[in-house]
Amino acid sequence: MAAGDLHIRRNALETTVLPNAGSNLDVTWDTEVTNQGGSIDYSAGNFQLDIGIYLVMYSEKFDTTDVTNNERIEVQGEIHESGVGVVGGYGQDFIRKSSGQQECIISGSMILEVTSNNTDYFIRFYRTDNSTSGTVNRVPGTGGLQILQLDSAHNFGLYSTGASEATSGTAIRTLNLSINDRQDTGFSRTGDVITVSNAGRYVMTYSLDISQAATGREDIVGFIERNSTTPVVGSYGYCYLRGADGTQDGAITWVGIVDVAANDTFRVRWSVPTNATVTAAAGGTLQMWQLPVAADSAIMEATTGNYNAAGDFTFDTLPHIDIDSFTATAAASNIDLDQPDYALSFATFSQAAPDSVQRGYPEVRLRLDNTNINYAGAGVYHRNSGGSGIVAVNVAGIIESPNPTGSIEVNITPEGAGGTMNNDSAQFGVISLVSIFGSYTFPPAVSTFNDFQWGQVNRVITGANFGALQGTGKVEIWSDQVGTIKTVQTIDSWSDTSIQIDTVRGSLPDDINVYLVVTIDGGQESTPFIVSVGVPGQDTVIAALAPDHAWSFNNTFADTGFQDTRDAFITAGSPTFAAVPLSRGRTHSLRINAQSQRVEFANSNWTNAQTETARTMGGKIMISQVQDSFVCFYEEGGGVNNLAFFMGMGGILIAQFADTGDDNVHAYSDFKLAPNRVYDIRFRFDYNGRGLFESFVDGVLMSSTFGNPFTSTDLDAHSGDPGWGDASGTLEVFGTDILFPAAVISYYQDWDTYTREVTDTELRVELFEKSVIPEYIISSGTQAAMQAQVSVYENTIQGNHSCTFKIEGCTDGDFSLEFPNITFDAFTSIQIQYTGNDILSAKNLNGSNLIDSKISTPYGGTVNIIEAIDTTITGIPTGAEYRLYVNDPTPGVIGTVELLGAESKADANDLIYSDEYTADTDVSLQVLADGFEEFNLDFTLLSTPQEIIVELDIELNA
Amino acid sequence: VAYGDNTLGASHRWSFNNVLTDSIGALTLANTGGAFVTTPSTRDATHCYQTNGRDDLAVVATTTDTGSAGFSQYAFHGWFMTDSIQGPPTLIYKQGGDTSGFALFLWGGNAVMLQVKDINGNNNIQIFSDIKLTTNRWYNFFVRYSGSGFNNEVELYIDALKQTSNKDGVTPGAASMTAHTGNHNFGENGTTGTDVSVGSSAGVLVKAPVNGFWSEWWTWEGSVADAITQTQIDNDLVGAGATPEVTITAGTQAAMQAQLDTYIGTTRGDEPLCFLVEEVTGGGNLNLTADNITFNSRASIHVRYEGTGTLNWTNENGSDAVRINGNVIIINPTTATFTNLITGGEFRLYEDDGIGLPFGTELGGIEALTGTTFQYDHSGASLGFIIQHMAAGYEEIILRRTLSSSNQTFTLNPQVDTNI
Repeated sequence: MAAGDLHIRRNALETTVLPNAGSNLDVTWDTEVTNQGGSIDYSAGNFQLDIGIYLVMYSEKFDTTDVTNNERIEVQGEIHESGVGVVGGYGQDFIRKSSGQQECIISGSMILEVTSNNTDYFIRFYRTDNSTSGTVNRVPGTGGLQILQLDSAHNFGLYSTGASEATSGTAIRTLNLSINDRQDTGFSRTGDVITVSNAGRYVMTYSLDISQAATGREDIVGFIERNSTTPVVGSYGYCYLRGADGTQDGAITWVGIVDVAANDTFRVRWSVPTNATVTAAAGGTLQMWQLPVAADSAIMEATTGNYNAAGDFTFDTLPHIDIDSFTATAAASNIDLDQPDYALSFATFSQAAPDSVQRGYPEVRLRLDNTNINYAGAGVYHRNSGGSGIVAVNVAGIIESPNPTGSIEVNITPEGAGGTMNNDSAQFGVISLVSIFGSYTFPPAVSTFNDFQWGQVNRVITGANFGALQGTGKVEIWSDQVGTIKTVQTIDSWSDTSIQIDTVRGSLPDDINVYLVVTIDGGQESTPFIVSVGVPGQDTVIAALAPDHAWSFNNTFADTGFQDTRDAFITAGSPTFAAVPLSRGRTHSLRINAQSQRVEFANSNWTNAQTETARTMGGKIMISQVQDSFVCFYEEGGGVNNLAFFMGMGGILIAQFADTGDDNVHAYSDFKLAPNRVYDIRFRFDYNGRGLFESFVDGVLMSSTFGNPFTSTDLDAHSGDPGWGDASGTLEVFGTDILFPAAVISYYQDWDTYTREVTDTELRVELFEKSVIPEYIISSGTQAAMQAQVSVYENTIQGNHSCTFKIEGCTDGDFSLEFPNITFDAFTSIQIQYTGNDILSAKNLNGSNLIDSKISTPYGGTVNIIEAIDTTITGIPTGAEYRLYVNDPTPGVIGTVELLGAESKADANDLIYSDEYTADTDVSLQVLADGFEEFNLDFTLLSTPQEIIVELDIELNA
Repeated sequence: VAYGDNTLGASHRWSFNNVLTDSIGALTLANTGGAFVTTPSTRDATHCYQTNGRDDLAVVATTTDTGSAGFSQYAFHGWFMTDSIQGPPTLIYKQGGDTSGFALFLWGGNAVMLQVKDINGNNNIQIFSDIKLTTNRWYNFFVRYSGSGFNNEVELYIDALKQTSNKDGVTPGAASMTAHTGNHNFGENGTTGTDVSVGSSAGVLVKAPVNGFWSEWWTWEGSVADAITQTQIDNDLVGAGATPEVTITAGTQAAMQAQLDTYIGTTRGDEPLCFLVEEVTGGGNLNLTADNITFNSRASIHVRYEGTGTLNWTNENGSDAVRINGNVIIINPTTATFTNLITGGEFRLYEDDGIGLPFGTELGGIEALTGTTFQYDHSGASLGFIIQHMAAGYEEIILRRTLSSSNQTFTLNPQVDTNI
């Protein structure tokens, strides 16, 4: 065992159900992030630790899609030693099931002193609420456990309480620390006050296990007080007790850096500002680790800012920085590393004054190089009503940065209601573990590898720690994060920071996200690096447009947009996810089975909660039958102001903009939408642009509107939870209130919303063309092989499709395909989608009706439609040899370029020569038939169809 | 004959021509809020009925031959116009109620839906218009119910064109429609819960169109309803009632051609009837040539002839008349070109009577070709024909071919006669 060893594991795939109260969930962590030193063993959820002292940090996210009765759920977290909870490291968080607050993150930290070798530790989560409806599940990719072995030679002061204690009124009380769990040089305790004799920087953590008997809404707040007068900036911890549904238990845990002057004193203060009696169980802790002199750290602080706004938080000041390991400036969001490092990082936001946010939930995550750390997060529920509004959130993590210039930030995603949460006391601290424990062996890390195609050559991977020589190293592409399917790639060249490969598909899929993994000589693997192969996946395409909210409905209600998260949830009936994908790469869509069913999301500032001047909204729909009623697909607002999509009159789609007293506009589809056909439907407007409300079907602007142009200046706020299906009450339609049931059976996929006018190209190419599921795929191959695939559909009449043919690139480069008598439905949106990069010449033969406006080339290729002119040749008998040449003026030569011909004509049918007309072309026809004289005829291929009549003379000299 | 004088045996007729009375039966309408206006409507009418408020309507109870006793064969028709797109759902016409009856809804950008409910049969037949109604443009609606003992079909025609889009078929599924006493309504003033439901949803508050206009609504009950033919719908219900955009008044052929020539280079509008051509002086056939006169794609009748003979209407120079009413033949000049002929040879084209020699009527030809090609202009009608080409020193060519509506080129292959 060695100081500095660390082991980080995370939950990549597990969605385990957290059982109702009375049972526990002792979690496993399926994926190793790093295991430096190799001394901290892990097996089936248990970490086996030897004698020593450790910093332990955990977090896990849970969510529920159930909204029954708006119930509350309360989840507790504990560190267990061989099945018994240890003192300290308590965690708790809360789900309200309302306003989109469907998730919680439980995090805890502590300094753990292990006194026996081979001691097992695991993390236990459990519920203490009495809600029973729905399930609460782990959210894969959002939690993990981090264990860092500290140096026992360092100085520690570890203290705890020996008895429970309770608040009285709103008075702030001091945690009654009475037990010295460990007290090294430089620490002393007098009653509940700890004196630190040596100046320097210290990691401190405190934790309280809280409960109440009453059922009120209570904010429980803790902080570290310096010299019995001053709260340490950014040292606030918090938990919320609701009381209802049995949510009467909580915990406060905080961990961070404190810059200490010699002989500063510290104590933990805690209170219930909402004036209730709340009890802290025995076992409350305050723990301190004196960082050695060599330890480099940086600390940023802030007393302003909104920590319920999406994005990286910007701090105000930089009170400390060691420039050997860090680069940072005040009034910035980032602390940059100056070397490959493991950065022990903490961040806290807190507010001391109530605000107006109702059911807010900022999710806070550390971030490296603009990528969230997926094993360390925290969140906090906030409600202004009933509680005081005093809130704090604290996140901690060890960030692995093989990159010598890694940049660390603190990122916020508002998961619940929007609105400002004013920060009063924030801290962001980073400690260099390299500066404390010396160099680590960093794993290989991929930093860039662009989206690619199978079979491409000379693709470059950049990163770090690949090693100078390949040795037994390899590059693989995995189908998922755990490598269910793996294909080894062909290595062209290898260096410590760059690898060049030729891509090999093997049995991996196309047009999907895959994972690149570099294994270096000796067997160490890089973290799987996500990358898109083939055409970019739907998530990638949509994310590039930065929607405010985005619901794929791909077996999930999650919102993956860029603003306050608004996960959808069922509010009426039992809509389901069906294995009926409406977009490329999806497996499921939302299915509404009855007119009364509905799925909602909470009001949002990016949809309906405030005045709007610009907007685009929509997604994919499909109906299974002609609707007999006037039905609703989507609406937001209600009886006064609203935006909606209706359908009636046999399939007419109606986009509605209703701002009573101002603008009322309808935009109608130019045709009836057919059952069992996927459509991409959108509306958009911009008061500061063209001032029109428009609708699009499959990315095509619909021509018919009523009420345009706008005459007002904006669309008023229109509260009333937005959602899909039954409109849940009347919607005003040009002054008349009407009830709109859900379309049945209706399917929904990839709905997203933007507070801007999405452009025509984005609507057509990005949102529609790149999403379509083709009826047929002409797979990549030689021109001949691809022609054979097309010819299967000769003499067919194709139905009404989003996209009839997807044609992949040809291995021959530029190529031609003939479409022999293939008739496309007039309402098909895309006849051909070409996904290659070269030029495809698509020829209309024998009545095929390819047209330019229905060709899609979203990835850069070119399709030229060739209109063939038919020349019919009649009168050639079965068995005759015939040749049609380009006329050659050379004496004695009929022709050398053959346009049409056969050694023996197979039947008595007319011959048809069909090709593009470019200019009048002189040709020569030669026919040789037994019993007839040789026939030769010169004529001209014209721009119009013509008939060539062949009458053979009987060979009299035979 | 005035339009209203030939009702094809209708049981009831509300002309709305400044009266609410039923000029055949005794079902006088009661007015709520509506008014008569002089807005041009059907031929021969001076007034039509208008709703200019959401609760306006003309109403009368059904009687035994319009539904109160049920029926197995029934039809109604009438003319309707609106001057704006209707924002909320509206009702052009209904009779009966939620359990049995007819309703013509107008919504979705002025699309039309016929809903037929019958508690004893197929409870909810819906037929949808293929078009959205143009504002300020009259349309004729013809609706027919024929029970399972007869044609077993519900039909909706708009300007005599049968609408084919429907939900789950148009079969009534019962021998007769259940009696329904709900009023005949032109317009509507319903309230939520008392309205005619749209399909299975009772929550749609349907009101009168604003502004809606009605003219000449008739009903038929019994076998006369099923006896109305497509030709009668074309000519007697729509063509005869439509107010024309242009009337070519009676005169000599030359005079009528001169009238038509005033429209050279124009595009006729989205109208129920574009050209009404009266009878040529002396009767008989009339030949008119349209020079670069094109028609809005949504116009219902391009040309109607009211003479006793045939109007031969030639589309020249891009003219595109095609939708005719009455005895009209459309001629679209088309050229067939024959190449690789023998100069000096004889060339003949005959109508193919299917018999052979003697050939049918000669279509064209020349005794002695001056070049190697021959062109034949024709109406564009599909026609079987025979090519005959004879030239000294060459074998005779006789071929059967078919003329089409497109220009055609035929390259022949005269063979030297080796038996000379």
